[in-house]
Amino acid sequence: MLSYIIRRILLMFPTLIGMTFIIFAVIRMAPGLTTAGGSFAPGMLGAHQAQLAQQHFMERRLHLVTRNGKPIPLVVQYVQWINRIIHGDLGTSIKFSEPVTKLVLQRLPVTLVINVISLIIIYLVAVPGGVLAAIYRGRFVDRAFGISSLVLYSLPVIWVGSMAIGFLANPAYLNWFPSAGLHATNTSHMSYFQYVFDYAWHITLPVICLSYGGFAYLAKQVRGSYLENMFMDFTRTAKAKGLPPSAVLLRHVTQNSMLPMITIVGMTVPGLLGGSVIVEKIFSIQGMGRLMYQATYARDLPVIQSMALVSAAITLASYLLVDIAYHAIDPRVNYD
Amino acid sequence: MPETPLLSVQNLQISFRGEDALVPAVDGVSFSIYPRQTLAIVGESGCGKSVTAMSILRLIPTPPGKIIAGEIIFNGQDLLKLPEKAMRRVRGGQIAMIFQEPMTSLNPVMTIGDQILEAIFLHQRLPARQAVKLAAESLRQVGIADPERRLGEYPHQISGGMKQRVMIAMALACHPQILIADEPTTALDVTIQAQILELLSTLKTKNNMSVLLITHDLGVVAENADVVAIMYAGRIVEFADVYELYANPLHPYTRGLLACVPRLSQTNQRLTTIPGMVPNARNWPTGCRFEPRCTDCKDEARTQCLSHLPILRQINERHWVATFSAPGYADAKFTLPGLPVRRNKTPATGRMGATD
Repeated sequence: MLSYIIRRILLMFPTLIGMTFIIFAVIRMAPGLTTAGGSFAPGMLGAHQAQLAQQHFMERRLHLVTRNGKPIPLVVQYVQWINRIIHGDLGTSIKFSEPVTKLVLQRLPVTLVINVISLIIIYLVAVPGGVLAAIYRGRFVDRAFGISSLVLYSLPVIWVGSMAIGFLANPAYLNWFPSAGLHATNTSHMSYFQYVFDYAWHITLPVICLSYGGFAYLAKQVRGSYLENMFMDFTRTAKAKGLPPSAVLLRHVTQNSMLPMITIVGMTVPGLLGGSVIVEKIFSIQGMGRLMYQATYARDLPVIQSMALVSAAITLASYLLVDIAYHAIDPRVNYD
Repeated sequence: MPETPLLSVQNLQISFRGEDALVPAVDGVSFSIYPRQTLAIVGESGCGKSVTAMSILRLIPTPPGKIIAGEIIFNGQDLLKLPEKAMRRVRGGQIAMIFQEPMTSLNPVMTIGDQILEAIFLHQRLPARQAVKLAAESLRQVGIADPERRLGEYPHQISGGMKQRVMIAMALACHPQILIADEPTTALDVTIQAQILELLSTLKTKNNMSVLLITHDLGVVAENADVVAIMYAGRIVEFADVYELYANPLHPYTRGLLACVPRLSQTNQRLTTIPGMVPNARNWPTGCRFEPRCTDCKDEARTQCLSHLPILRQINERHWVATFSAPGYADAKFTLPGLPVRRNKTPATGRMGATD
């Protein structure tokens, strides 16, 4: 097993190098690199200031790709980029004038907290929901859960988020939740518990928006795999032994239904880091999604490139973890 | 004093919910098994033999299945009326079952040892170490070498025949009084089949248990069964001890089945077949269900076959049959089929070819 893990980690490097090619190529092919651009909402800055800022950004971008007025060959650019990565330097943001590493480390925890919490909520709702739906297949519980999770899945986040802010975080209606940010302004005066409570209060709406759409997919998968295993021959054997139905379900059926659930976790983890651009924008949360959004609009080359690379690495790592989990759960999976 | 049956099934009726109507699967089946006896239920696919077997342990998935009527008396109590909790003590404890598909009948992600121990702990109060010992012992009993090591292995690491041995070990770990074997050798190749049947018969004697053997292999029946019940379209059509049945088959369906068995002495011949198809349960004939395929009844007797369903009647001490064409059928009465007889080593022969 250990040798397998080591081999897998070594095999990740060629994949990662391939990914750097693709990321580099795709971003260099994108238009607008050497032109003035970037989004500045009119009114936020004066027209003149906006023009100056755009000019300034363009100069910085040009600085990245030219030396003494001549373009640096792409190969050299690529090697320089890889070299910096190896030395732990992801570059400096054009928009924020700060090291990308610092930016990511600031934003990542924010995104991780709300996404991990919503992932937990999705599992806490969808797994029992899916199991109940399998047990009472075709009956009221099954249909009610299936239809309601599908309805939730179909609601656009942008609508739900706006409605939540409009009705639940609005002094004119129900002013139950704050409409933006992650903290009250006076956190320094708070005790630890007050701080946690305040934080929870702030993230409630974003977390709801991130989770409600996820129930349907996972619950369908769980329902499907439980239903399949409930009618397998080994389940009948377990019943014939005299096991009570609860033990048949929790031991034999559940063990065999774990794999699809783990696959879905593996597919979800990379998404956690990207955060949700829409939710973070609606609730003004300074997370990874927001950073990506801002970087894209400012054509902030180093940030875009680094985030793509980090997501690629995390994706590979989570697939590795899924494979290891498979091995731990299913003895038939043998990599050696 | 007459021997009392260990298990007796009386007028069992089971239906399955189809798309639009209830489809009968078992329609008034009765039989008894005596202690240390092997009763073989023979019939082709879909005749209701497996459903009958499953219903004894109440393992029929409900819905869609439903036991409409009948009694299954075991040790003086009706299993169909037993509360679920008491039924679970019977399942795997007093009556155990092995299945047709050894490949998929074991949980793939649990070790063999854990699966046997699960059964042991359910039915016996034993300290862990002793339970492990018993599990290893039951594996040794079914002829698995190095049982201590096998306990830690997973089902995918062993062969199909070995899996069926494990299933048998698991079933016998709690010393059941009856073992229901639902086509235990169908999925195995011929040499392994013989080994498994030999094993079953040895263990039956050793553990003093009865076996309800579901099969469609008349060769297997000739060598293993004490008493045979032939099923057709949800009903038992003939019931007799194994020697009587092979020597003197009375139902045209039984005779047809026996004629179908290939004979080693007759080469270069097409195998005999029974013409026609098993009638669909949605659409059973009003009269005798074998009538459309029957070559026995002629002329005026046929009108009776078309309008009346022949019930199973005892026509002599050793023989029950459900056909108007059997001699003495008209005067015979229905009695609960069951014979407290045990076979000897001689395989049953008669009109069947396999043992020629």
